[in-house]
Amino acid sequence: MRPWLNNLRVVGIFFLLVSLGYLWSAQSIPLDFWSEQEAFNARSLPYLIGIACVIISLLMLVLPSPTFDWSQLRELNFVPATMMLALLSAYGFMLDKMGFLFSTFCLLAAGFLLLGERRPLRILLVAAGVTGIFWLIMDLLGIYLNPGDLFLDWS
Amino acid sequence: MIDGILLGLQTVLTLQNLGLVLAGCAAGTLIGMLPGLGPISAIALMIPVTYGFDPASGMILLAGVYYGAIFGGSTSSILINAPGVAGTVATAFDGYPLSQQGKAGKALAVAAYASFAGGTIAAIFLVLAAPSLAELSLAFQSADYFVLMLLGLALVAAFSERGDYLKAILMTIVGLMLSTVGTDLSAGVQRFTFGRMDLIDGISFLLLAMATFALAEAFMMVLKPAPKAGTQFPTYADLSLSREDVKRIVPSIGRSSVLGFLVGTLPGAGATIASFLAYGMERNIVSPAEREQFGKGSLAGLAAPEAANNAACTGSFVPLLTLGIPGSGTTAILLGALIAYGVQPGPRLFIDAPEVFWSVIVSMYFGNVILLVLNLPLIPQIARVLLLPRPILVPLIMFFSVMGVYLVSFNSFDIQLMLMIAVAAVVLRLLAFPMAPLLLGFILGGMLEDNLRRAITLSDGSWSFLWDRPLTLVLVIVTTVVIITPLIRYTLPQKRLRETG
Repeated sequence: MRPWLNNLRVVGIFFLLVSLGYLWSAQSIPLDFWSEQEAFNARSLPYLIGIACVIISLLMLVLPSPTFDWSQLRELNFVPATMMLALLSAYGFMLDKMGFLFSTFCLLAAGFLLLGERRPLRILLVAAGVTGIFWLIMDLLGIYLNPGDLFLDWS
Repeated sequence: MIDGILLGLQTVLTLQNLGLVLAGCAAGTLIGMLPGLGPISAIALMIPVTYGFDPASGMILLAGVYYGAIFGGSTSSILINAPGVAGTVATAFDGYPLSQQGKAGKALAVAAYASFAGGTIAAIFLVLAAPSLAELSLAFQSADYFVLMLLGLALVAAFSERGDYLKAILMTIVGLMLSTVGTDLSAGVQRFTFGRMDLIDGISFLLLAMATFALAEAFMMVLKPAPKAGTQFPTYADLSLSREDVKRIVPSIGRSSVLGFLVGTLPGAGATIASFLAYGMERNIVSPAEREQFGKGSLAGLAAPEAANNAACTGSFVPLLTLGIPGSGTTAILLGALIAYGVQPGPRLFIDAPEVFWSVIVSMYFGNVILLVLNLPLIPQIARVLLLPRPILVPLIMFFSVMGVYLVSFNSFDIQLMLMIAVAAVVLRLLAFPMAPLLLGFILGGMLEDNLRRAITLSDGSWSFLWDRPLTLVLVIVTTVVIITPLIRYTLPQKRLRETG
């Protein structure tokens, strides 16, 4: 990448676009007749924040700043991180469908495996143990954890 | 004041609350010891646990977690040279060399005594200063609060490292932006919800804190390969100090505690800056022979930052309790917790809910005592958490952060929202952007708007409230200077650098 385009400027460009979108979206905040007459209404602070964000992003683009070593990002383990992200997202969807016990066991076991734990006994025991104990504590506290639509349909 | 302390003692000295301080300290130490997870993550992870308690008990637990996390950070700094918290980086300078010389037990003991002394001295200052400051701040009006909050936000950026000023300001503004999502309570209109029901209540501060700290830290652990250091575990059976050691550290602790408290009370400064300042000051003050030892395992060099960071933690409660304005990411999240319990900190807290005000102060002190009496002897056991392999640890942290948010809302949309914010936070972190200002901006956003609205309404729609009263005018001038000065500093030296080279 060009030396001009350092971390500050990449983020600056991004938030310049974000703040313009934010300002544009702030225009459509619904106001009734009376609020429109008021000096300070629901749109006022968003306008101020949006304008401040534009100014700071522009300053980041214009002012001199040190170059950024982009190559350091290449050494990061993006693959397992992305897979963990997908796993957690799937967990969010599974919670409603499959219920707490099943989803949590899967999340933990798959997570341990994904990050390099290879002893099957340890994976199963820790995943089952944590899930079970957590569920038990919630049960004792009287917090209801959804057993899952899927299982509710069966019973 | 004595009445207040007695009231605080009365609240804290119940079996339940003492148990909570104990549990909080242990949990905080455990979490704070894990590399990357600092007090903000620790408190965020523990907040869902506190929702069942009354405000005073909740704060007691969280104060314990706060101190525990700082102490846990020192422990991992000393034992494996991996500071769990920015505030304990300076601890590793002399703590780690000591533990490599086989004196880990002594180092841990010095850290614990110094923290305890720092916390004690600062607590005395807090008790003396807070009530009178609270009374003084009753004279503040909406306009002053508005400017004070701006000042607090600006100071956080101004105290960041030289090149980081713009980054911190931008993150503050992004935090303010996020705070406008949801229903505007004064007019009842929806803002930036994009028609989604899930966003009508806005983003919860717990979700934001968990996503930008605990969850983002867990992702960073996956992204960054584990450092090789710290595979061998030092032994530390001997926790005792000789009389000579004590003589050597006492003056350092005294000086650093006062410095730490003063730095801590400034909004935006906090434990990290306090510990570095104390370390630097101590190196200049001690005898040349002792100075030789700095960085190689000096007891004074270890005691100074430890006393200072604990004193600064206590000091940072001054603006929180008296003005209701948090000065750091950690106090911001404590403020968020208080608001969630239905308590609004500020000068009225001292009058309306004195039991909360005083029990926070007293329980902080109890946190200090418990750390010394119970945590120190238990450290060898607690430190085993450091031996937990990452493939097991990371999914567990992720699970607890996700559950902490889910158990409050029972809305699985929150999990997806959290993941989106965590991804953004990780990207910003990789690009060296700080996250604490974002949290601070987010938490202050709502209060900033309320006070600005009130101030403008009171002055009939004009901005003249900014200069009508001398107090406000002074605050406006200070704030302007704080915002502008770093900008000038930011541009000048680099220009000179470019001209010469």
